Amino acid sequence: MTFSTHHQRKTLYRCGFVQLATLAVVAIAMVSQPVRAGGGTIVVKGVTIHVGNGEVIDNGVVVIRDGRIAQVGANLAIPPGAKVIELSGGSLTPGLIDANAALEPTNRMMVDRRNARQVVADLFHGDHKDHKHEAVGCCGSKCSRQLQHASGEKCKQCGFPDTLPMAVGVRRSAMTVEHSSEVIPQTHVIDSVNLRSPDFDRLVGGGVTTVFVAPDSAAVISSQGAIVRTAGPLNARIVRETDAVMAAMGTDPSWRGFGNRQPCRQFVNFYNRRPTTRMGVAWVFRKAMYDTERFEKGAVVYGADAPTEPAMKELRHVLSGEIPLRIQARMQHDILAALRLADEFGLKFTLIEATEAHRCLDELKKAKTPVVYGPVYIDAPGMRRYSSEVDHARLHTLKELLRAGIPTALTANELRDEDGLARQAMYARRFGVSLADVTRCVTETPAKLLGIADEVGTVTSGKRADLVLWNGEPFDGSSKPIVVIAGGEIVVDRRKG
Amino acid sequence: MPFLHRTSHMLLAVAVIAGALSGAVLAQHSQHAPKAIVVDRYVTPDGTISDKRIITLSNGKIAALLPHAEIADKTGVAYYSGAVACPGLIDVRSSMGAYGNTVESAFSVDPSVSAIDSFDPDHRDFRRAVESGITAALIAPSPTNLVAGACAVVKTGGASTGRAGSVLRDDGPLVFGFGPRTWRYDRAPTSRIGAMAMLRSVLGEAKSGSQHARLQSLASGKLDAMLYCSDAMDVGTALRSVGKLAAHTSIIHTSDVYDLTEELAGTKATMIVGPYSFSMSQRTLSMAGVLASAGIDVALAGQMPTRGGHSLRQTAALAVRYGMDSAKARQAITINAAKAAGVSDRVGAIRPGMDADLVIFSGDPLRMDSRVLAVYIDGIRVYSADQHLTMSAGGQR
Amino acid sequence: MNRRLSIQTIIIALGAAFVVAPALASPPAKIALKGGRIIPVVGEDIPVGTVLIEHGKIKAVGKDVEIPYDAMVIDISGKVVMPGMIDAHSSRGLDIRNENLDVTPFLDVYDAIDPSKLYFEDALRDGVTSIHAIVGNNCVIGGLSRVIHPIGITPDEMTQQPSVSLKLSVSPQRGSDRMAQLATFRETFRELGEYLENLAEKKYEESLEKKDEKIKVGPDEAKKLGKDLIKPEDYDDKHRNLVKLTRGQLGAFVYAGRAGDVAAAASLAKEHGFFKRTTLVLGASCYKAIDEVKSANRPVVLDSKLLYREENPITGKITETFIPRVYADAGVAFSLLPSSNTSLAERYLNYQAARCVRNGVSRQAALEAITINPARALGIGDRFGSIETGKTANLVVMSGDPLDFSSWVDLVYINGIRAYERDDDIRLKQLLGEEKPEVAEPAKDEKGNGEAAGDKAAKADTDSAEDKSEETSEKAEKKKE
Repeated sequence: MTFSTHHQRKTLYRCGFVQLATLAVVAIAMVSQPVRAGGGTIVVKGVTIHVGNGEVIDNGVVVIRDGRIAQVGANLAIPPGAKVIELSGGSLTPGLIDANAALEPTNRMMVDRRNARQVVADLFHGDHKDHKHEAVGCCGSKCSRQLQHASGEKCKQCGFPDTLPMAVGVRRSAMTVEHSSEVIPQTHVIDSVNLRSPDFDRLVGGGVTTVFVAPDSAAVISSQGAIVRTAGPLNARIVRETDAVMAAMGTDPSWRGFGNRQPCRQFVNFYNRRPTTRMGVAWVFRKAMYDTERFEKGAVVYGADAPTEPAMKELRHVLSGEIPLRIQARMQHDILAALRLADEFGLKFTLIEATEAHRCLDELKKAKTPVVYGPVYIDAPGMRRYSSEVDHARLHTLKELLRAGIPTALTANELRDEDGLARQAMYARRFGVSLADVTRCVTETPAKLLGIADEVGTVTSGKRADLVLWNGEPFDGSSKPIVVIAGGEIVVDRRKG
Repeated sequence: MPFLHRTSHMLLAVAVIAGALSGAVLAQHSQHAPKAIVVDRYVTPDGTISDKRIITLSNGKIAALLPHAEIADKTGVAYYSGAVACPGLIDVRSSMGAYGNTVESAFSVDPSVSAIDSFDPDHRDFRRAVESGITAALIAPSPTNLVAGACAVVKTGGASTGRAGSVLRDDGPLVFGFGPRTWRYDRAPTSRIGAMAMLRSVLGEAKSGSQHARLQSLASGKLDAMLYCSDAMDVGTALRSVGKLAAHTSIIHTSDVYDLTEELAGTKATMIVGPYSFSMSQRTLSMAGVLASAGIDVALAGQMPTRGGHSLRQTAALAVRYGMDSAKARQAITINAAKAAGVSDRVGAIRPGMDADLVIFSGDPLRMDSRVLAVYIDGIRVYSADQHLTMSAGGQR
Repeated sequence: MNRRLSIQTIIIALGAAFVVAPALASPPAKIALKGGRIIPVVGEDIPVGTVLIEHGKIKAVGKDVEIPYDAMVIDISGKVVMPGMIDAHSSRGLDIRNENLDVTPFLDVYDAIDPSKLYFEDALRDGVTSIHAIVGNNCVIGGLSRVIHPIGITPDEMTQQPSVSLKLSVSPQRGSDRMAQLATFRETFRELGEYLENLAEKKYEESLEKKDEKIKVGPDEAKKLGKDLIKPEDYDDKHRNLVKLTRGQLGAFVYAGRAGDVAAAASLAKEHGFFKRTTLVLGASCYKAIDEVKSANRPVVLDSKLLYREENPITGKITETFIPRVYADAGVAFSLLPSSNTSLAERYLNYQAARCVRNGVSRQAALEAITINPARALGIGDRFGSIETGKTANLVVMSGDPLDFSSWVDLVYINGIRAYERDDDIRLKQLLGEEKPEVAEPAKDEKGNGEAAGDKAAKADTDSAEDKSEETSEKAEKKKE
């Protein structure tokens, strides 16, 4: 996965828009920050280094200089004047990388938690803000079928959950997905990313230093994601403004967000559209790609599901492979559908979530499809619990994927803090993955999948000093990140208390 | 020496006044269009209160500012003893006098909309505005669209009683909406990323010359922009997208841009804050002060007619209560508001050459116990407390 | 959860077999767990040692324990044996958590325990050997609780200790407020006093009637004189448990949901005479009342939510407090609860303890919080909660250190009976992919990928072999009966 010319061109084109401005802006912010010992040398010594590629260095020493890893090895000499971090019994891993993190786009609604149900209702039915809490019912007055489903279930028509879901999920689908079309690769998740969001603090507190900000799965061909650092000066946070287009198989595109529906006893609007079924999903995907191919040849595209012109301009680059493609699929037949569609248009893609990957290992292996697997669960977290796609979740899927030799990264998606990526790795260990393998799944492999492996992902001299120091074996129940170093700066320090 | 000095001033004053009185058209209703106004103190362009006391008017403009003097010919001179003259207040976040709805919701990019088209000069909002000392208002199309249209700036009173006066600008700043209020569930965009993708393509088209003329002139830096934002993130986005193209940028946001103070200080943008009310949190109420002390131009808004006419002064008073410098607060409701509306060459300060839009308060305009004694627009008295005995302090009926 | 049921119902038939069967089988008289690391919780760890079980009791613990010739020796070298974990407060085994009535001291969870709940199977799998079955927090005065173990097919079989405590809650019920909550308490105890006086008067009158005497004293005097005539069986169902409570004959689990409720809980208990038997069940924010908790000096059971997150309303900054750390630093002995939510990890008591260690609580305090502390709070500390000679043989053998999340519960002994063995846990195997799903997948067309096909066939073979062995072992068990 190389950094294509397309991206460079795009970045130049858009640099004025967000990035340069951010640069200028945050340059100011940087100046105002207290000058830390950034220029100085930091040495971490006396720890077990889990390099990330499977190697382990006992009693290791890491020398960090100018934000980079200068030296790694056992029992190295400590340069004079260096700031020494020593932790007996501790261990060191590269900063964790979540290859499919769902960010909370803004922290705005956290404040409204007490009234969360109303907020959710507002988001689902934008013009009914004057409803009383109770009057919203299961899906607001817009839904004519609200009496037709039992309490505790989501409304079959608009997807509004009867019980308040985890706010994370709702915020995601309501704010990071453009609902006006099912094919929206021209939208960029980075526009929704609030670099000042406390979400980043939570991520970095859990040892995650780089994330791929995942687009939501509420559209068949959704937005372009971004690669973002979770700590460090704001002007250097964005690694790649746009990275990959995400598509989704299964039922998510039909019910998430405002939900598609059939035109029945209500106003006709643009939610009366495909897909409302799995077949519809495949159709919309296929038509988008087909239309793009025709559009490139100068033909006129038409039809109810035809993608918009800006969308096709982006899809062109997806078809030519310049923009990487990710497809989220959970169930076995969705994974197979993704493989089939990709084969049809000669696309290479990364499989996301892959809850039932253990049931189609051979096909994945044959197609050489890398996987970003996760999260591991028995009872599905977040909005997934309203999906019917989680019944066959198993605990050994990651083990099986690795055994089959499929390059697999592990993700925690929207889970944070103690529930975050480190815990996912902890689960993986419990369910049969070795420490070396699981370390690779959250460091080196995602770095390779995201094409940033020459910069981060292992504890190797020359790479960016994104490191996590644990007060025990990494990914163990009784250890947690004690010190997190990002770009040579200590950004989390829990050594006192 | 002091005596001499004062004498010379007095002589000068008498001379000027005499000249003005004799030369000009001595109107039959000199009460309504005085030649000079004598007050105790007045609000200077830098927001402080100075003790110059005579303001002479000529052809609806301010002719000169003079220290106190005995005026020989007292015809056509309005006396307000103990009063403070203030530039007419300006509300930059209002929809007053806009007849009907100002949401043109069919398209989210609609630069051709002009607020002036729904301006109703006979609307009773204007009388209420005048009574509370507001002499000019910016009328904006509702910011529920990405590009909502052009603002108008009008005077709230004029020669005929109870009617709004002249239009200062009919092609005012272009309004852009950011944040959730521009997302609707029934038309694009429905989300932040959708809105940004749309705005990117619109601005791209404007730069390449294939968009509406207003957007084109904005993209080439010839038009002001007024950006309505919902949260701090919107402010950042707005500043970086439209803000760096427009000739002058005003950002409307009230609650929490503390994080962006430095970013804002690096630009010439005006922050429009308010309205404030007593029920707001301390964090919100102290924002105007924080922004002002960071060197950012702050204009305060009263949101007539949603809030009452008192709202503008109350906002300024609360801003001062929560840390804003009082001189800056006075500027924020006069000259800075005029800058945001793009009319600072005509209104917003008591300075020779400016329009004679004056409010005579019984005390400091920031004090809530000061009341409006008289309002002059274009040198004509459009309101006098003597003739409105039912009026309570602050101009509220 | 509902969705899971379809799988669960299928498995339950299989699961029930291994849950139930051991309970009915009579235990070998003597068992020696040999060669493992022993964590007795009370006392020093023994790196390699033996636990000798005799007739369901721990006969001996130590490095060099002489193993009787007739003992069944189980080699657990490389493994760790620890006391069975104790869940100090759980309503998950009940059919519903709370009654609709406010004041229900006459209820007993005995009637609500549903032995067929999958929860018990899970508890066993997670190494929990004692469960304090108690009504939920949504009550004023709940029913009687009891300590049960997760094996057995009737509540009687499951019971370790009946009538442990009454549940009280000073935090408001759903839909109610604090004033109403405490007013209900006042009314209840006032009514109790009235009832006792009337009963005394009645008893006095009856005693005189027996003697055919006429009442010569006034009602006040009669009430005093009749007091001693009341026998325990005279109380009616509605008041019996309350009388016991106020006389300190019953424990009290008092729930305080917020910091402000702690003082109310303590004063309520003091006022009505059950303070000495009180255990405080504390909600997350109660750590803020740590001084009051400390001065109360009563056992504490903490909510399963161990991390308290609070947003500063002015700055928007979020602060996090690790709750057990506050209690540990103040020297308050606390018990941990497993979480009943969807999380994969927090439902393990040993993981809850590991979290404590991770956040700076000492290892010893963390282990005590899941074993001996709850045992003491329940008044069964003399029988359960540690590996000491004479105690009941409720033991858990883990594949590694209990605080290491990758360790599994390998064996569970309850009353010296082997109640759980991981090798026989079919549901777990299925989740871990070690067992074929209940419905065989249709064979896939491998298209010349002979090796993979061969692998699959081989796997299927072993699976079916396992199935068979499972069956045979079950049959064997039944024959034993």
